[in-house]
Amino acid sequence: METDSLSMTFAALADPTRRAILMRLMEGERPVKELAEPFDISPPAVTKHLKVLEKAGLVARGRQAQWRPCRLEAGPLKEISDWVERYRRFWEQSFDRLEDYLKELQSRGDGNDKTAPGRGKS
Amino acid sequence: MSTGPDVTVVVPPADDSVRLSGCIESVPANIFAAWTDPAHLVRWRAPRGFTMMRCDVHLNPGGQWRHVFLGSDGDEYGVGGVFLSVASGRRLVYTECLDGLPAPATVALDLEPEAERTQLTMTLRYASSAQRDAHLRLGSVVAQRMILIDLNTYVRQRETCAA
Repeated sequence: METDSLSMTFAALADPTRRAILMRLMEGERPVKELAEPFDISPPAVTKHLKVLEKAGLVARGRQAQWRPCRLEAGPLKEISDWVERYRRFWEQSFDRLEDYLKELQSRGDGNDKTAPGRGKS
Repeated sequence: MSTGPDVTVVVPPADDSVRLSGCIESVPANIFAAWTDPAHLVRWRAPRGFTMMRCDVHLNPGGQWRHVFLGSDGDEYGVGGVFLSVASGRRLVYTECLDGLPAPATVALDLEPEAERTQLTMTLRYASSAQRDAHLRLGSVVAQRMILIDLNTYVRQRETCAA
């Protein structure tokens, strides 16, 4: 099974702790130790989550030897929102056609009005 | 030219589903009929740049359905499935599989009356998040093709005018 970047991003986002880590990083860079504070899990467990986030390209680590702050990378999130936006537009056009069609039926006053269009008779 | 209904898409990251919702200016019974009756479906269901060339619907639990669309570029794509539960004018549950995808999604269509309008909610559930993502991507691909077809039509019209 292929593991493309979109699936990896979704998989990384599927965990509530990882989402909470990303939320914290929205406020700015943080060292791992500080990121671990609000969670009831050990720093090594946080490191594990960070590895998943890093692999998905959602988090990058700084270069400084001891500190190595984590920061949020917006690229993969933007990719997801682009896919979803195109999908949304596709359905918006579909709902739009449905509504226009139903209005057209109504204005023609098909049959005795008020009845569901078509079903069976006409 | 109507502005059309606003559609919201929710993709819960911890879940294998996609939820679409929008408000349509019509009563639930009419929307339900338009969604299930081939005589209506052929009039609105095809995406822009496509025509519906086949529409079979056996509207009862266990009954099959299949839609086939033809693009103006000559390409065909089909989608079909089985109805799981049918509550006329209120709720419809069915499986849906786009040709080329390995497994179907289960779709629940819910219609809630709201004054003169109807709140329409579609929940698509997948067997795995990989399948959910593949579906989102395919939906996007169809949308992209529609844009290309529009562009082709536009270019051709310009060429005709210039000639």
